[in-house]
Amino acid sequence: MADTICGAVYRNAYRDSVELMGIAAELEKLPGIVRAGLVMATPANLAVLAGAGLAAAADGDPGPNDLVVAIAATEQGAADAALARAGVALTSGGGESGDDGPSAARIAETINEGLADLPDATIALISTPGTYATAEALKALKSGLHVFLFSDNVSVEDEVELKTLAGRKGLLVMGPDCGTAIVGGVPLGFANAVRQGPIGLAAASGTGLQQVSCLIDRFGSGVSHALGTGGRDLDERVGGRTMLAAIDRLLADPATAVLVLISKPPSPAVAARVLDAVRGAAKPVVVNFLGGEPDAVRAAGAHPAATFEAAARIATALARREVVPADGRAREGTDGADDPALAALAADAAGRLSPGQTEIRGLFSGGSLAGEAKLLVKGLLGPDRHDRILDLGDDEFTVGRPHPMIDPRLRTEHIAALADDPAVAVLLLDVVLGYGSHLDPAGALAPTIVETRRRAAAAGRHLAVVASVCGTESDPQGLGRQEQILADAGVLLASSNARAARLAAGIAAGAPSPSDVVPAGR
Amino acid sequence: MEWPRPFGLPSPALSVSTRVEPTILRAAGRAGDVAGRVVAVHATAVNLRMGDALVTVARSSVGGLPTGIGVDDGFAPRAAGLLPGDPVTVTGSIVRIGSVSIDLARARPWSPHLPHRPIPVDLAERAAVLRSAVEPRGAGRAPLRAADHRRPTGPASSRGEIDDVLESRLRRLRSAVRYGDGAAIAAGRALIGLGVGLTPSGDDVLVGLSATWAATGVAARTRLAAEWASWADGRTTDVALDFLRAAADGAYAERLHDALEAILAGPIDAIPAAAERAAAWGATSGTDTLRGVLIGLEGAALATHLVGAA
Repeated sequence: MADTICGAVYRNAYRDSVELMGIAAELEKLPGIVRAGLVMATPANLAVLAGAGLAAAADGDPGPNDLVVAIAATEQGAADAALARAGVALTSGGGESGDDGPSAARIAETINEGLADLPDATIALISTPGTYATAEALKALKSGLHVFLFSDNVSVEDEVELKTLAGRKGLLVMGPDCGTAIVGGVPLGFANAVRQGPIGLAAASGTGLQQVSCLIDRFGSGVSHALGTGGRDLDERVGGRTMLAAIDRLLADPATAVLVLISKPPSPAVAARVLDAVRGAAKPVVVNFLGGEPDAVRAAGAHPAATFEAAARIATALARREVVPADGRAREGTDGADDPALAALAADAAGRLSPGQTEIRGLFSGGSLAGEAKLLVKGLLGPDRHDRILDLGDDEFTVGRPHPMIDPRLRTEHIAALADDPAVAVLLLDVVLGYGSHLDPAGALAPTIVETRRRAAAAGRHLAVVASVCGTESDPQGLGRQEQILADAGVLLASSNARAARLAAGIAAGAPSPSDVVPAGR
Repeated sequence: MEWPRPFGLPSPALSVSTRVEPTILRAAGRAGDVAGRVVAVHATAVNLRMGDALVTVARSSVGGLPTGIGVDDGFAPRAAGLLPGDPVTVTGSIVRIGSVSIDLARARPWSPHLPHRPIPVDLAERAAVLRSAVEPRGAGRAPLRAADHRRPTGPASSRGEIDDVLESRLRRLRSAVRYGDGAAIAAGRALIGLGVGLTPSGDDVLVGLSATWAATGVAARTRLAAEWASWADGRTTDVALDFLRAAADGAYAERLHDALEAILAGPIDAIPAAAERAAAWGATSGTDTLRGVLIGLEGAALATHLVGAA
């Protein structure tokens, strides 16, 4: 006997009939539930509900695109529990929902609504199509908010306008096309769970920022803020506006003791402006302009770092108030350049290669990590080789597909193809963890790695696989767990991207030359 | 490229209904203006409200839709992060939906308008074969196996009541098509919006009936379908309303084209398999549409009477 009739209306909620009937059947199994029904609130369906004595459930004048949950129960507590269970079922994955239902918090649809909900907010994260991003960013700036602009396809003219306005208002525009940042310990976009500490980063490089911040965490220090600038910020036309503003902020920030600046080589004029900004600074500054000229950095009184690992090591040493040699090398060494263990590992793997196996194939999900690996491999092995290091996150690979940091399928397709290439000696990979990335990237790659190595072995070749994992133990995926999965798949692990590149180059350098072939019968 | 890109380059559309272009042109306005909004995001498709029309972007394996754009089967709108309310813009041949861009430039045009075909001389026999596959078996409503295995068991009493009402009104519709347009219009109206899910069963039945009459050239279809579409405004879901409006325009999903081709012109012993395929559509929509087809076949057999009554 039902003593209580109640219901809930979910606005613009689309579900197929089987799902709705399944939820209704589940609710009717709950204790104290006499009847349960979930229907679209069309007049015809509402009439049936009314005929069944459930009219009271459809309160609030629902329309045909709204979903009504109707419950008849023996007591209010049972009805409330059933409504809550329905809410969970309707808002957890798989639904066609356009609304989170009556119990969910209101979703702000404009910046002003968001500010009304969170009057103390200081940052707006904007991820609309580029067409609208500038307008939204302008609204945010005019409302006194810093901007994290995830959107791309914002014109350089708009970028300059936004950053000029931000400069006038004393605000920061991170982006456009800014994928990652950590502000006061809060990760934005694709960022890692790094501990807080005294090192502040400003980076025009997404996975470069992630790699340096993760290594700082691994070396026992922490990050105060990691500010992304957008990849175009140090372009001549933008003039490093956000990088310069970030430097000012980090220099003034009491929680920041050491600064790290990360970028591809900026234009000379912008580089000069950035180095001028740190010249004579009261805090030590590490500069990693990938492939850039270190002397200009030294001349500005800053510490040049050739790789992301070197930047992290030097910054960590400086944060510990250790003396860093003039050549920029921290006490622990830099990035495996003279690591005997790495050399031994490379020699061992090289000894297993067959004649003709000489080339490196790098399949990367991080653009900056791919860039660093390319520079190192080319520097160590010379330019006249056929190594190929691909950034699979680049436009040419991601048209109509998710980024490989989210979806590993593109990479596994490329890996599988290597089993049939007799020239390949080493497969070089990055695995990027953190918020927003695939929840088990190593687990998604491992079966293909095992199978590819097995097929290569069946063809008489040893395929060396080298990888580094960019992440921390606190990341959702867990650094140790991901490294163990790769190790179990026979992957040679390096603790940084630079070391992985050096290891791959070492293996390729030790490969037997074709002249080592001993003809059969001799 | 330094970052995971939130927004990719346009993916080519593979097919596009001939009803889509005028719909988009009406809604588009200036290049780059917001021409519509996402109204629903499904596993393999997304519905866009563009002016008065609902455009559906769906994987090509779904088949052509009356106001549909077919894209690669890798299309995963949920994974792409599309949400109801996301803006739709049109610039030239590029339709941008939230974070997804689709290029219509090389899409194969597909006409959803059903061609007329002669009523087969063995129509009664064909209808009987289809009925044996579609009609209820045993007590209560038992659709084809393809839908059966997805239908949950358990009491779900409100479903039972809606199904009971539906069965009653289906009988009324079946009877009404024998007595002229006025009765059929009223019986059809009573079905609109009746049913549990995204496209209520009653609406699916009417679309199936209308398609069958469009294929067999029953003249009464034009008026009935227009009356039902007009009545449905505000009385059913947006998605179902769009199918009814398309039906009034003589436009139907490709799966219905295929089913009717098999039922009206294919080998008679292939009808059960064709019905099985058609029934696999959606959760219950396929079966419901076939029930409408069945009523439509009965009506087609009486076409002379209906034409006379029109």
